[in-house]
Amino acid sequence: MAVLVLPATSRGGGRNMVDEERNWIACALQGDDDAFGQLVEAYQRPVFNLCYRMLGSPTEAEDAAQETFIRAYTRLSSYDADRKFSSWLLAIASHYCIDQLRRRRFKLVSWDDLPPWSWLPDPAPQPEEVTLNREAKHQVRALLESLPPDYRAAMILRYWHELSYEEIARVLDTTVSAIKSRLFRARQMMAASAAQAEAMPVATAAAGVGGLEAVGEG
Amino acid sequence: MRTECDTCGERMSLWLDGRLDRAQIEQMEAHITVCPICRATFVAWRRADTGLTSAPTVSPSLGFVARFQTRLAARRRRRYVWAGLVTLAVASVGLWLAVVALMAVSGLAVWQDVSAGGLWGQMIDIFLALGETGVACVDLALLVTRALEHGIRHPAFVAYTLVTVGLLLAWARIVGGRVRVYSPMAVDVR
Repeated sequence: MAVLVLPATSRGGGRNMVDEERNWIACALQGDDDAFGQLVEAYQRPVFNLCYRMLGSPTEAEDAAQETFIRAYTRLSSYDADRKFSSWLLAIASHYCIDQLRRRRFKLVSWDDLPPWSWLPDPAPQPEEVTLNREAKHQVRALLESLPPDYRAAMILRYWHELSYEEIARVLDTTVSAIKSRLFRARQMMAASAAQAEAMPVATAAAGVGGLEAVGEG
Repeated sequence: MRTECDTCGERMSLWLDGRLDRAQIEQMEAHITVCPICRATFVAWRRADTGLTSAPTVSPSLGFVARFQTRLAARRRRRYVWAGLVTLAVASVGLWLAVVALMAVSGLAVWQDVSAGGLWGQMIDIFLALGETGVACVDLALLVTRALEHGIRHPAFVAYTLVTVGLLLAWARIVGGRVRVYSPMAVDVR
C-alpha cells in the first residue's frame, strides 16, 4: 500500500521529535514565524497530498494546501494539545477541500473573465496541461471523482493516510458508524464507476492503475 | 428487509479495512462462494482497492515553505491595512459623535440659560468685570508714571542714569571697534 509517510512526530516516532513539535508550536504561538515554518516543512507533504487527491489538480492543491497552513497559523491558539497535530491539520485541509468541491458545482464564470480566444484550441499545449491530460486518464483520479466530497475525504484519509475509522471520524467531525457507511457506499460507487468505464471503448480502458502520474512522487 | 447479500457487502468493506474477525471472514467467504453477484462485487472492490493502495503519494514542488511565507506576509499586510482603515473609520465616527454631542450639550445649556433669563445676567457680569480690570490697569499705569516723575528729580536717579549711559557708550565703543577690526569689509584688498 502506498501509504503516505507522515513525519515522525505524527507517528509517535520518538519522544524527541514530539517534544520538538511541541516546541515549534509553543514558539509559533509566541509569534515565531520560523518555528511555524518548521511545522509547514514537516507537514507540507501529507497536506498537499490530501488536497491533490481531493481536488485532482496540482494548482488547486497548492492553493488549498497554502490556505490550510494559513488557517492553521491564524487558529493555532485554538489547537488542542491533546490532539495529534497532523490530525488537526488534515481536518482543516479536508473541510477546506470539501467546501471547495461544493462551491465548484455552483461556480459561474463571467464572460468578461475569459479572453476572446479562449474557445480556440491551443496548438501548443502547456506542460501543466500535458500533466493534467495525463492525470485525467488516471483510474485513481476517475475513481475518486466519482465520489461525493465527504466520501472522497474518507477514502483518501483511509488509503493514503492510513487512519483508523475513529481517527477519520474525528478528522471529519462525524461518527464511526457514519465513516463505515461512507466507505461502504464509496466502494459501491467506485465499483459502479469502474464498470461503466470498462464498458466504454478504448480511451478510458487504456489508462491503467500502474501508470500513475504524480506532481512529485516520493 | 436485509438480505444476506447486504450483510456480505458491508462485511466486504470492513474486510478490506481489516476490521473483521475470523468467524466473520469465514461467513463472508462462504457466502461469496455460493453467490455469483457478491463474488463479482468482491472482485470489483478488490480491483479498486488495489488501484488505490498502489497509487503514489504526491509532494508539492520545491519552495513550498517560501511560497507559504510570502503568502502569509501578504495576508498579514492586507489585514493590517484593513485594521487601520477600520480603526480610522471608527475613530472618525467617534470624533464626529463627540463633537455633535458636545455641541448638543452646549446648545442645550445655552438654550436653558437663555430661556431662564440667566445668560444675559452672566454676560453683563463679565462685561462689568472686564471694565473694572481696564480701570485698574489705567490706575496702575498712572501710578508708575507718577513714580517716575518723582524719581527723575532725585539725585540718586540722576547719578544712576549717568553711570548707565556712560557704561553703554563705553561698551558701544569697545564692541564697535572690535567689529570694525574683524569685519571683512575693513580688510584692505589693494
